[in-house]
Amino acid sequence: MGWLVVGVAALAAIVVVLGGLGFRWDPFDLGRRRLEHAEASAAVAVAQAAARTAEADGQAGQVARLDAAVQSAVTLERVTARSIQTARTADDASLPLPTDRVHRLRDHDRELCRLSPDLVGCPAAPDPAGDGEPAV
Amino acid sequence: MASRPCELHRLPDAPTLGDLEAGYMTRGRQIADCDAARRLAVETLLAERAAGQAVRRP
Repeated sequence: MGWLVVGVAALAAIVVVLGGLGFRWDPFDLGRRRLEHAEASAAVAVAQAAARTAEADGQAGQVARLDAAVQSAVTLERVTARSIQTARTADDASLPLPTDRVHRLRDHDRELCRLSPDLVGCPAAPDPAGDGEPAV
Repeated sequence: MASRPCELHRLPDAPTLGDLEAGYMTRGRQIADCDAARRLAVETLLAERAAGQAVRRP
């Protein structure tokens, strides 16, 4: 029993000394596999971080673009409303348009709606052969 | 915004000169609105493509 203890102690001492000198007992190359796995995990993490950064940048850019678009729409609405108000108060604003001019304008609007029926302001489901004309 | 159709202002019944002038201005605003929506859609698409390419690039 005493020899066994001495043998185990000697073996442990040898392992410690060899370990201190840089020797590694790794017959199945587990260290290299662990390293490869760690490198692969790190690469995935880096890629995911880059994707999250790009996503955050994209969202920030989209918010900025939407803000600019909404601001532009508000400004357009304001300046147009002001101009229309001025037009409505002009001295001749209440003069009726000549009938032939009204007909020309309405004919053109009808053509626009026939060619682009989805435009808001056009009849929802225009007759493709409206006004007796062939459908385009 | 760009999924909505553009607007087309039309003259009311018995239009006046004021209606014509207001309609002209309204159509101008509608064109500008519609172009802004188009521009927003295009810029968003280009930004998404650029982001996708940046992620795929090693």
